Amino acid sequence: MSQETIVQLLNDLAADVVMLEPGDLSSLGPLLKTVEELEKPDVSAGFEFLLPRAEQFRDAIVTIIFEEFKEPEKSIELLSTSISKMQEALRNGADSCDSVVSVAVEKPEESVAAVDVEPESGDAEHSSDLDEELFIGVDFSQDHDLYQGFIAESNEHLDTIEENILNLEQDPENLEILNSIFRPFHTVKGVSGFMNLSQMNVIAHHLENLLDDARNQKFYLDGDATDLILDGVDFLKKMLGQLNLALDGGELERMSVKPFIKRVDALHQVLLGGDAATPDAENESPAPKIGEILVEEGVISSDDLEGALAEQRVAAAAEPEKAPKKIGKILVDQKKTNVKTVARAIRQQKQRKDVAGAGSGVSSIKVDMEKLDNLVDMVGELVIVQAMIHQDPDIAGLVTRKVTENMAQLSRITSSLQKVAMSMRMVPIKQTFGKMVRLVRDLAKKTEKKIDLVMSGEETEIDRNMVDLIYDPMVHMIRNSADHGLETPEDRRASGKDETGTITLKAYHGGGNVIIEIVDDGRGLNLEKIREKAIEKGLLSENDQPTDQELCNMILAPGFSTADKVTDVSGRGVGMDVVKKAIERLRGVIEIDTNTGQGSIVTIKVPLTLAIIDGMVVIVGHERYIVPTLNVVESLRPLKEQYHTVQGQGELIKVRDRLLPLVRLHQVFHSEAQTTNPWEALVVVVEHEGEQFCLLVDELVGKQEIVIKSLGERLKDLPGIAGGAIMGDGRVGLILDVAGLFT
Amino acid sequence: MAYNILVVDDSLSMRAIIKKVIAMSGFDVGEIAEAGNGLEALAKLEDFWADVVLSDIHMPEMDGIELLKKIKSDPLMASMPVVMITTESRDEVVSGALAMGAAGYIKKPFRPEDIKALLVEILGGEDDAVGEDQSESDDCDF
Repeated sequence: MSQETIVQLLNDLAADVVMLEPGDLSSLGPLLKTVEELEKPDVSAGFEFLLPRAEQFRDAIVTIIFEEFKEPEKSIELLSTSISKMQEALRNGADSCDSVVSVAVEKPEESVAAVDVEPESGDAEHSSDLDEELFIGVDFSQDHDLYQGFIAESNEHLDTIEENILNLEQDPENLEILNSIFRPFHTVKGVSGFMNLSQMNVIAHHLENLLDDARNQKFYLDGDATDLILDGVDFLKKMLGQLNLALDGGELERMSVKPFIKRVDALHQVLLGGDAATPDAENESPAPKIGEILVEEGVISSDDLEGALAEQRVAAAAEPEKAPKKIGKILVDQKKTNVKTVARAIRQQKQRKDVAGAGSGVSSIKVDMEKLDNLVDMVGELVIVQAMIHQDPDIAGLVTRKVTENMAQLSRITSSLQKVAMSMRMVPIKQTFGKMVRLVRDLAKKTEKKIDLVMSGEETEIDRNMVDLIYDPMVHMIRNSADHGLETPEDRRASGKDETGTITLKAYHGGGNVIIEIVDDGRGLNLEKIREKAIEKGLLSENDQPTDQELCNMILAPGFSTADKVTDVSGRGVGMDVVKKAIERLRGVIEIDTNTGQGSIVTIKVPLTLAIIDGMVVIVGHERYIVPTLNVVESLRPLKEQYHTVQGQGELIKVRDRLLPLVRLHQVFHSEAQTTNPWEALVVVVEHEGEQFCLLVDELVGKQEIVIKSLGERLKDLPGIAGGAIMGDGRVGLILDVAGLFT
Repeated sequence: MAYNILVVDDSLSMRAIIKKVIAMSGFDVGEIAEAGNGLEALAKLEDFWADVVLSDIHMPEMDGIELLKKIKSDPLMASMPVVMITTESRDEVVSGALAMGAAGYIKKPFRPEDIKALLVEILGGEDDAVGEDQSESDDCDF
């Protein structure tokens, strides 16, 4: 066929592409037809070099049809580039084959399809090349859901590795644990292969191989191997983080994976070599051997087994560098049994090993966090509307017994619905605790101390949204315990303690809160030093007699550090106050107590959930405010004699022999109060960081659960106000931020 | 004729990708069902007739090999083709699976045309070139 025909077809294509409107799928049909015309052997004869391009063009169209491209403008641009390159190739003639190939190779990078469409790789061979140009541009592969799903799933899996690997150290032969470590790498490898995330693919591939051999009992993973695997987990997590950034439009940084791969391979070799020399190791392991199971089942005689074992030893001796031949394979080769039977025996062996893993009958489904949050929000609204209806005077007017009964029923159901909805968002704190295992292990290494981590109450449930937020403060406090609290093995020996220090993590529920304790049995806080420092910083005067606990909590003040030297782990003097602020943002409390020489206890108390607050509703003028119950100490109507004005300190109320400052809420919020004399109104004594003061209010309405509403971006930093709530009558009440009121 | 497929893999994103790649391949697919491991797959097969089962090998609870075994030993399901989705790391497992009656295997990652070729080979039915024409123009006429 003539060149004219092809030129004509290409021109048609180019014109069609130019006319193409984003989202106009029906025009893609003719485009497809034209390009297929171009691909017909009689048309393209003599111009075969155009075919790979044409094929890609067609693939790109198909991809667009399947909505792989979520940015239509870009995909159309891509099609027109593709066309112009074909036209260019045609102009340069067949002798420009090289340039065509290079064009063809560069295409998968600029296009995308989550699937590799390199034309020249006719087979499925996917190179695990170590070269640096591995990531295929994510910015084009617009199937964000797929990527996000992958990132979330992988991160979750990688988290389980950290937990499991420590169990493995105690029980290196446990196949189930090995499998649970193997599987995440397997998944990451498989999915990243599809997504052209070659670097991730290569790392996961090499670690998978290492673990696979461990699963097959070619060797046991030692400390070096677990370190390496943990490094691999970090590496992959970092890449996932970058991928996530890239999805949001950031640049995808290229990381060098070669050194890491080399480490994996080197260690793999060492492990293989080490165990091949002792092929009998397999027989010494307490788990039942395949051969033994087969003998038990009467499939083979014990003589057969002996023979096979002998052959295994001979083979291993002859070729020590090779992994020992599996006993099952030898038996099959000797025609003593068949593959199926061996496979059954292998499974039996596995079953016997996972007796412990059996029996968890709870089934579950995964639900998107956002949906769940929505549900909780809606239920919150429902509770409010229900209360509004309940309090509506019109409804109150037509009360019959039936209405009352139904209303009561409605409120019972809404409140249990609310409880269920809230509980759906609750997760055990186990996962967060699990991460600490890894942290403590790393810290012990870094500080060259011996540290045991003891945990209890891992099943304690906490709001999913809270979990992430308490992670950093916990990490910080544990670092402190490991670095400053616990002594070196020598020091511990000298003071008659066990060389190994213990950090205990406890979680439990108490009074609507989750309480987390971080206890160490180290040297405790040096109260004298804190006192000196506090005086130096002007936080204390020479004559003050603070309690030990008050002294302890001083280290939470900004810039307060008594550490003699700054270490890699902690001690820069920043942070403790950050921890305190972070906990306070969660409407929580952090307290430190110590016993010199015996250790210290950090107690973190946070509410079960961020969505609901237990509040005391008070009235000032026409407005209603909510004081978080956590802050309320008591409320009272003071006598006139209890009221004092002190020069320079303003108004004070004497409550139980203590003079507490008085804050007039109506003045703070510039509203009108019903009465301005404290002895005619009420005061609510509130506490913040051990300091108490009185709020002047008109009336107390009562204690109730309040669904917190944000006041939006613009109003989120108002001093003294933490948020809003819709009250039963549909009006807004403001939630007070006690800390903000006092400063 | 449209064929029903059961995709078995413990990774949610892997199942999503496999489904997507099958969709892209233009192979005439009826319903695609999913299962997260062998046990779930067997439960699914109670009320879902799969013309072909695509299963990963390494999965918790019940792995792909065990699933294959169960399907092949059930007289009602024995004729159901099972394709193992593998990675290149354990060839002896693949040969074992084939010996146990797997209809074939495909290595991850695979391209739409790979999976299509395999499905056509196992299920037959359509001539490759015609099928592709057909499916693609179908997809465009809207």
